[in-house]
Amino acid sequence: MNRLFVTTLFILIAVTPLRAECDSSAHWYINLQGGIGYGLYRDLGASPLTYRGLQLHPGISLLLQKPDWRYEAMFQADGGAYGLRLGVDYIQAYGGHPRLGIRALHNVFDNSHWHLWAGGSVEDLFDIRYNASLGNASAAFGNFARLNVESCVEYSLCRWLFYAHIQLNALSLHMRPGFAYMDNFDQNIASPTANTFDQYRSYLAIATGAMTDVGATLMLANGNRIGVSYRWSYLTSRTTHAAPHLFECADHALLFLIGLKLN
Amino acid sequence: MKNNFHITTLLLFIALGSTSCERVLMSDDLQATAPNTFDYLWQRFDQQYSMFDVKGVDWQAVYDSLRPRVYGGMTADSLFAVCATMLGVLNDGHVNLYAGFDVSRADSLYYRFYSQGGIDVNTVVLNYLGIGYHSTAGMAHTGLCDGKVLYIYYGSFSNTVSTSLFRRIIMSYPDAQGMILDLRGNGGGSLSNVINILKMMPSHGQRLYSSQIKSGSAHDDFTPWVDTYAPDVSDDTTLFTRPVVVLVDRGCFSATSVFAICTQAYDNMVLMGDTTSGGLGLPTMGYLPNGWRYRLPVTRTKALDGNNYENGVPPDILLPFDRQLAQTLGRDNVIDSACSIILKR
Repeated sequence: MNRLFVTTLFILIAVTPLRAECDSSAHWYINLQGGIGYGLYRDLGASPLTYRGLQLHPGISLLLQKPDWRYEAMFQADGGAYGLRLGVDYIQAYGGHPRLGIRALHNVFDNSHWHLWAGGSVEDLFDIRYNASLGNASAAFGNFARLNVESCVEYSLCRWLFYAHIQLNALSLHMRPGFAYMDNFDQNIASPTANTFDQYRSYLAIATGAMTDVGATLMLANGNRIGVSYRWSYLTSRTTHAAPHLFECADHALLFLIGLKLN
Repeated sequence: MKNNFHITTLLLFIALGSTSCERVLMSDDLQATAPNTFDYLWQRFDQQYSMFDVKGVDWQAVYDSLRPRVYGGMTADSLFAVCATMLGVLNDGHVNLYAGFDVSRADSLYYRFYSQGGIDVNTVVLNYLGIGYHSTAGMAHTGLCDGKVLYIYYGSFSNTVSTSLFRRIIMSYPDAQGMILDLRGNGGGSLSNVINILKMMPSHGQRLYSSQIKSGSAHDDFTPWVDTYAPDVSDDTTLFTRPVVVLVDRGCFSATSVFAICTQAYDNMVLMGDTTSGGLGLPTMGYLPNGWRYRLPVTRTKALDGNNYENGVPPDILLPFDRQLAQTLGRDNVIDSACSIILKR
């Protein structure tokens, strides 16, 4: 699945500039993202307790902006150190998830100030969790391939653009370890590793995540833009058969954005 | 226009309102009370433990008998004692409860190991390895019987041994007519080392064992059996095709027991000594609501002959260790017998 997304991403990056060459109304941007955040997660396969911690949110995307359409190929990540205090004890854990995605939004309403976009995205998210206190069974890897529906409302005022963006997961194919933090090192003798990771594969799970993003962007005179936004996101592996191994996380992030105009 | 304004307002409302949605979506943590902790521990084992069939334990009856001893406000020590008693019923070396102040274990296994252990390390070191033995990758080795027998003592599969280093050991004894691989007292470690050693044994793609993983909450919810085959051998010219006598005892557990069942698949290997302590399931760990950790096996393994030797792998040649002989004459009857077997072949 990762291969599919990477291939699609590169095709998009390679092909769309050629089309844009012939279209003076198309504008290309490279968007750089940095941010800090606060997140929490719970992984029932390993613990009934919620871990909380600070995160970093780097990201980069290639945006093709047309009057009626907006395409974006994205790589985003978040990762951080999490912890849980129990009396005098402190349990340390680490985690994060890089994600690759492609988004397409269509302008469904436009006037001098208000712009309404609707569309969707596909993305692949790879989740990593590490908890050293679980000894040689400390690492867990999950994968979520997702189809999302999205909508974005924008309000432009002078050189400012204010926006609220909503993303709701429609369908998801995800894999979590049959037993989170399974001792994979001791399993490399043969194929049980594959079984473990495939055990809680969920096809076409519905509504396993959401994201909202509210922010403001300042259009600079040279065509570049800078912005700041607040993003909330939620992700879960919630399905009936995987209930004993439920994974869910929520992130709050303050993001800083720089958009460099390419043409 | 009016509709779009309403849509816009709705989207803004949802966007701003959803920023604390995880409080709705994510339930609160389980309170770390003694009843909750005990119930959670019992339930996790009920759903995940993979050895109920071979252990012959009525897990519900265990709960029914111990649950009345758990009450809110009991001390941590008391709760730990009850939980440890519950897990102790399983008599499984891969089952532990870790609190900051204590660790529970399968006491009877350890007691059996120390009371019936089949090796006297002093005798091995003083009278077999002797002065000038070599140590490679956690393996102590020397030549016995005028170099006709390669003797290797491997005390833990946690000591990493690569195939190349194991090959180097073998190549150092070109005149050896056979090998004694002494695994007595080896409590296990990484299966990678099992494979690295087996790579030096003759392979024709034979099946070694089958395994399956717990896949659901019911006690008999498992994945289909998955076969594991002898590892590929890259260099046929250096394979050790001569006899190998593998020594085991009650101190052998986990990866060592896996190695023991693998010997069934090799014509040149024979298992000798006492029954191992088993432990063929792969363990995982988790936390309890109060921060204690538990460990339990979530897989089970079937040997080539179709049996699940979770409670112990029997040797091909049963030969109890003669501790009195070791302590009086300094002789290890198991090693001596292994030498005889090799030299007679």
